[in-house]
Amino acid sequence: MRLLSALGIEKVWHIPMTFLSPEALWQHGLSPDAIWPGVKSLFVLGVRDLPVAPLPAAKEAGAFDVCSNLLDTAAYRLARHLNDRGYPSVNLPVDGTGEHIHEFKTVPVYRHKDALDIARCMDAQADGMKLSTVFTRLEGPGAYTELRGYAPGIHPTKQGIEQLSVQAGAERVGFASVDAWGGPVAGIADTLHPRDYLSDARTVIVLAAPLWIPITDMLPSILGRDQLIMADKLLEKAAYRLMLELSAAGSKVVGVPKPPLGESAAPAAYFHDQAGYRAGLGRIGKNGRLLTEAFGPRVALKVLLTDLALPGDTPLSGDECGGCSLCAELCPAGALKATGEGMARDAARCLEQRTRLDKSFCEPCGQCVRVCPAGLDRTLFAGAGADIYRAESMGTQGALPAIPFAGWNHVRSFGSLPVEPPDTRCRRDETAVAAGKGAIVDAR
Amino acid sequence: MPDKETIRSFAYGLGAGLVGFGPVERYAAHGDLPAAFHPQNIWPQAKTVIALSVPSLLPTTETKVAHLYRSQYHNTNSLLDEIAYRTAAYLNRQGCAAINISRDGYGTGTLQIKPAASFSHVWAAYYAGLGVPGWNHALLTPQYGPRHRLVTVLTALELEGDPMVENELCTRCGACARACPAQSFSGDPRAAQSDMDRFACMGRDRVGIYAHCGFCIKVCPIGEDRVLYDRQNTAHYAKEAACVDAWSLGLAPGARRWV
Repeated sequence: MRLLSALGIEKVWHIPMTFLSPEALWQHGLSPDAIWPGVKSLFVLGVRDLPVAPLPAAKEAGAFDVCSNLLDTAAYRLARHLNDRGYPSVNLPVDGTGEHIHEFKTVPVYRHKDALDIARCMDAQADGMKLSTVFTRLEGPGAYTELRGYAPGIHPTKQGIEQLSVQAGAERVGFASVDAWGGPVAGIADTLHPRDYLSDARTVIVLAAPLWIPITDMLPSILGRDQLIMADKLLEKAAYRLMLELSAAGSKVVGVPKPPLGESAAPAAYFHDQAGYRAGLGRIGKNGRLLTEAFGPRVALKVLLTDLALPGDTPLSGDECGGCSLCAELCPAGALKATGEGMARDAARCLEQRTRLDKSFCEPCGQCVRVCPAGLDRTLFAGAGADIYRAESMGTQGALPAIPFAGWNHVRSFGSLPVEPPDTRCRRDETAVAAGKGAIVDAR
Repeated sequence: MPDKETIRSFAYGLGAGLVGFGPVERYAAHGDLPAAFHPQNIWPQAKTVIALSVPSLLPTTETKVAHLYRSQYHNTNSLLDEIAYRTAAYLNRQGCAAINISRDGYGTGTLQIKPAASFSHVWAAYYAGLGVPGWNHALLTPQYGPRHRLVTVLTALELEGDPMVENELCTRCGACARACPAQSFSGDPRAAQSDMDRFACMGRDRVGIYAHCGFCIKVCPIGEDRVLYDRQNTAHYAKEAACVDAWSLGLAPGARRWV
């Protein structure tokens, strides 16, 4: 039960097969023995099905349903836990119908709720829950357990939220009061307010998970793409755990969806970074991204909004970038341009480049995140620096040792297709680059 | 600096079934792969590979090619990436540089045109002592045979290697070759590995409900999981092949038990 509780499960029913009469099983078309013989009891696990926006980047990696993933993982691990103790067990997935089989066959192989219905299970309600089942040869008297961490009305503290987020895999957690919104940050206007997502929002919770430099260095590549997807999924799961806890206590809580690629130019594209700044996780850089002290801009972010009032963290003061504008200098799309008042971002050009990479299955581009010298992770992952990135971008890496280019190019040559040549309407201003000013001239 | 046992128990706590350590020097010493595929080439700081495995539970694996296995496949994939990413994060927090290589690396969009990856988790797990590649190119482990899935963490931390599995586990019974619906395996049965037609394998793999075919791991007689689930008799698998094509037309139920 401790394992299931730590994995986010809310309710557990343990139902011996003796509770399930053969007639009722037959009426429901339920036959555990037809799937796997010798079942002595079932564990049915339940988690409330809360509304969440789908993760755009995960589209090709199979539909990622965070609630089902939580349940399937817990059921799989329970089955293995029982196996390790000598009780053969196997888990059945939340959706037993099969995405490819829907067209032909709409009846799932197994309905998790049937067993609860037949056993009239201990009067426990499973409404609004998703369920997952473990078949096991363990015998037992049967039991019903609620594992929820908080009682209604007892709201989790900031510290409790931090602990749970870190236990669920987030590396950093920050809090901001919605009163911190209003007025631009680093030249980027606030076109969205947390109350646009949740009308009575009072606190914004930001979770961050780092991306490793050696992998971002391989961008654009399938490994770089996978890394971002996996960090996003991990944060989705951590955020879902928080949503379960906060809503169990009676608070309203919603997640802010990540804009899909086609809308990456929309105002929502910078909402996560700005929320991270206001929650004290870092400063906004010239590339518009949240620069954290530990990982520079190499973090995935997840934002939650709640009507629970919690003390906000203090935003960091000062400027992280100083005279550096490597992101603008090396942007392959020329989407970042130094102007008198800072940096102008051409979202359309950025999107054009990312769409090109998407066609070759290696989106995101991430160059402005990849080359950024900010972050203590630059010390941990000794290796590439500005000279290396410049040489690569200018095509002069021949003058430098083959490492690390050989490794990057090796990785890039698998799992994705060659990228179409960039739009020639952008050209690099070599004189400006030589003078250290950076940048790309718009020849349109 | 965390030691091997600390890292091992951390990974077990996240759900890993098998954890092994291999110094990167073993790649050059054994010479199984071209240098471009060695961890040091992919990431120059790498000193040790940490191989992580989670089992594909036998009763679910037996339902291949049905949906239950597909679901288990996606579920173990996300668990693998989570274990590897969080193990790397743990090492990085301790000041030992580490990265995780995602569990797949083929790329969903290019699988049929480029059925190869930049890094092999199978060979990493071999050098880390988890098992031996079998004739079907999957890593056979004493615990699960080939019914498990792999992921790798690379670290700059130098750790003593676990002993490699020296004896062959594959008995060259040929069950994998006979069961393969795409006839992907051919070559000398006495060779360490078959000649595998990856294009045939992947081409078949992506057709309809065939996705995540995996007959070659389902029918393999190796692995202690067969004792746990009381499925040591593998003769009945041979009968299935006859009806395989009917399933591909959508006549299959969501799952079946094969006896």
